[in-house]
Formats: sequence, structure tokens, C-alpha cells
Amino acid sequence: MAMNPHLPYRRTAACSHVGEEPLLYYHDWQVLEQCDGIKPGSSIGSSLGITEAAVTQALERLLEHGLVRAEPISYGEFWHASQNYKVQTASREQLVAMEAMASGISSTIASSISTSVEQLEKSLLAALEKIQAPSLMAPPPSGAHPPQGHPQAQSAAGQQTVPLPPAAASLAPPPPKQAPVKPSFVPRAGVTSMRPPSPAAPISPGFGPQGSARTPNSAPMSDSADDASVPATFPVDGQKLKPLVDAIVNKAGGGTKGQLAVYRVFLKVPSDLLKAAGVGKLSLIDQNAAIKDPVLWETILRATMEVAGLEYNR
Amino acid sequence: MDDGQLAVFVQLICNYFTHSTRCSPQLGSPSIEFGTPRLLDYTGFIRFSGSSPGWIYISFTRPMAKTLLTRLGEQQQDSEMIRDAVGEIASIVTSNAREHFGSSFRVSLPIAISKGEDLPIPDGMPQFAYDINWESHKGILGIVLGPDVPALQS
Repeated sequence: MAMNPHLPYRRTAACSHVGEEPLLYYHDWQVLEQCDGIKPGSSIGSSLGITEAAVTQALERLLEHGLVRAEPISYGEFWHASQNYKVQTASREQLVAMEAMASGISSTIASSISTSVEQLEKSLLAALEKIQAPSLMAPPPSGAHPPQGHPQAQSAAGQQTVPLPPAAASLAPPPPKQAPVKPSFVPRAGVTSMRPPSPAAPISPGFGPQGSARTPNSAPMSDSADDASVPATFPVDGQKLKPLVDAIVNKAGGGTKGQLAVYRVFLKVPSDLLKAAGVGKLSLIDQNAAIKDPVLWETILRATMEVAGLEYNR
Repeated sequence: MDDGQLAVFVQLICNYFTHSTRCSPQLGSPSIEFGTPRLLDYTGFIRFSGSSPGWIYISFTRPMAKTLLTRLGEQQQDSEMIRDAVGEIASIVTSNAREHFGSSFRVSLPIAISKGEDLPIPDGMPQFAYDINWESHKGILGIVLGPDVPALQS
């Protein structure tokens, strides 16, 4: 797909599986952070202090790795996203107040503090990290939320956008050399995926916020049907088998019983699939065994469900 | 076969080695193997039936089988003798299994084969296999459960 820097790009569910791979340049990851599906690619460079050409190249690499995509959105999605975007680009006074809230200083005192815009932004980001906002976007103002305690308030939590790992959100200075670097971020404990949860119910693309089935702060343009397909989310280095094996063994009660349960699961997997994937032997203690064929993996998961009654959480 | 029955079979085979040779075998971690079974020079198969039919097999390298024959006091160690001995071992294990499980667990007469002969088990069935370490030799203890459940569609 041709890259158009004037389109907004957003992170894909493949971001949930970045780890040791792929290797990208530092500013590629910076650009990835900025791909919120709202800002056009051409405007990202100015906020990062890099040229539009560099952003374009970064987007091309990110597209090549399937980490971003340009995607038209409905008006309802636009409305919800814009509510969050307003918060993200809140006025300086709001930033001061938010920082004060996070650091325990009264807003009156905080408003009298004179700091540069750069310092303010840095301290706000630090404050936001303190309060452990799970995504890059701050929560929308109270007016855009359902009231506290509203049933939708909790169900929509965490559906703001596709969050990046916390460390990726920090504004660390660029490294001295422009060599490919491995992503250094590790998801915070408890954060197991950067993939946005799927909405509980199908979304009707009604016009305007009232016509949308999406909850008011479910800002993300949720991944479309292709996210449900295996290839879109399958990690490049395959799915590790050991955690699945352990889960089956534990579910069956451990020991020989558990090991036989694993065997019975694999009895249900067509041998031609295993053969095609080059799986000849599966040691039950091998930490590195991985399934690289998405279809085979899905079949194993179905067999796990059918034989062991275990719905394995990928 | 359930895990309890498998454990009994494994124990019977280990007991055979221990009582006959005064040297207990050590079992490695199990693995699931796909495709044609990984068999050594001589293999004894025991077929069982019931709610979950299948086969148990024990496979020996030639040196392992010859060492075993030596321990059993058998001087003749040609291929035919080794093959008979492997069949005899499987037969003893089968008898002990019958004694243990009673009539509820049906076990057929064992079959012994040499490497290269046709296998008595269906092709392409996954095997649940342990490596046996005995007196610096390596053997294989395997189980193959029959296709009592159809495979999923891919």
C-alpha cells in the first residue's frame, strides 16, 4: 500500500507483539507513538523535531512491519476520538491543574508557578505516569464521561486507544547514533497487551455520538474484523508452546495426568497440519518450542478447548 | 487408557528391569512425537482395548538388548534370540498388566519386531514417549492412543 503522509495513521494490533523484533530506528518508534489515527503523518514531524521526509520514511517502515495503517473512520468514531484529543491537547491551565492534582499541590498554588512550556509538558508526562494512565491519551474531561459508577464507565475503561508500553511514552532524548535499536520498553506489570479490547457488542455506525453504540469514552477506532483473523495478530516468531502446555497440564491436575491431557489435545490436531508446519517432536519441557503457523495454532487452541476444556488466553 | 493405567504400565516395565537385572531404569521427560514412531533396533508392542484403546511399546537398541540378555544369563545373542527376548519382556509386562487390571482391561498378545518391519500400529498417530536410561543405554517407552476421537478440521 502506498504511503500518504497526509493521512492519519494509527497503530495496529500488531503493536501488541513487538518485543525483540522488529528492529527499527529510534525515531521510527517515536513516530509510532504519535500514530493515534488523528494526526496526519505530515504533522508528526514538527512535534518530534524531525523532518517530514524522515517521518515519511519512518511510516513506510512501520507500514512494512504492519505496525500502523491508515483507516477512514465514521463520524461517531471521529467524535469520540476528538473528545480524547481535546484532552490530550488541553490548555496550559488544565495541564497545571492536572499536574497539581497528581502531585498533591493545590491548583491555586500551582497556577502561580511559572514554568516554561517544555518543563510543564515534561512534568505533566511524569505526573501522568505517576497516576499510571494506561494509554498515551489522557482520559476525557468529566463532561465527556458517563457519571462515576455508571455501568459503562468501567466497561469502557482501557478502551481509549491502542496504548503503547509505558516506557515508550516517555520523552527520552534521542540516542547519539542513528543505528537500529531494539525496543527497550517492557510492558508494565499487569499490562499484558497493547491490543484494545474488543467492544462488547457490535457497533452500529450511527451518525453522531447519540447514534453510536460505543460507550462515550471508548475512543479507539476499534480494530476491525481483520483483527479477529489470526494472521493479523500472530507474532512473527510464533506462539510459544510451553505456556499452553503448562496451562493444560495444570488444568488436568498436573503430573502424568496433565501430560496425557496434552497428548490427547494433540491427538485432535490433524497430522498433516503438524507435518506441514515441520513439527516432529514436542518436548513437554522445551521452553523454546513455538508454533509459527497461525492456522495450526488456532487448531491447537480449539483442540485445547474441546479436549481439556481450557480457553487459553493468548 | 487413563493416567492411572499408564502409570501402572510404566511401573510394570520399570519393575521388570529392576527385578530382572537389579538396575532400575530412569525415565526422561515425556515428549509427544508426530509422524512415524521413532523406534530402535527391536520393539515389543502391547495392544490394549477398552474405552481408550491403543498400544504401548518398548524399544531397545541392539546393545541394550544384548546387555539385558547377558544380565538374564542368556549366552545366545543373535538377532532372532534378541527379538524373542523383546517379545518375552513385553509378554511378561502384559501378564502383569492383566493381573493388575483384571478382566476390565483387555490386553492382546504382544508383538515383537525388528527395525524395518511393518509396524502394528496405524501410521501417523502421535506417540507419547519417554526415553529410558538403563545402564548407559537408551531405550524408548511409548504409548499410542487410538483415534477414538476424530481429528479437528484444519
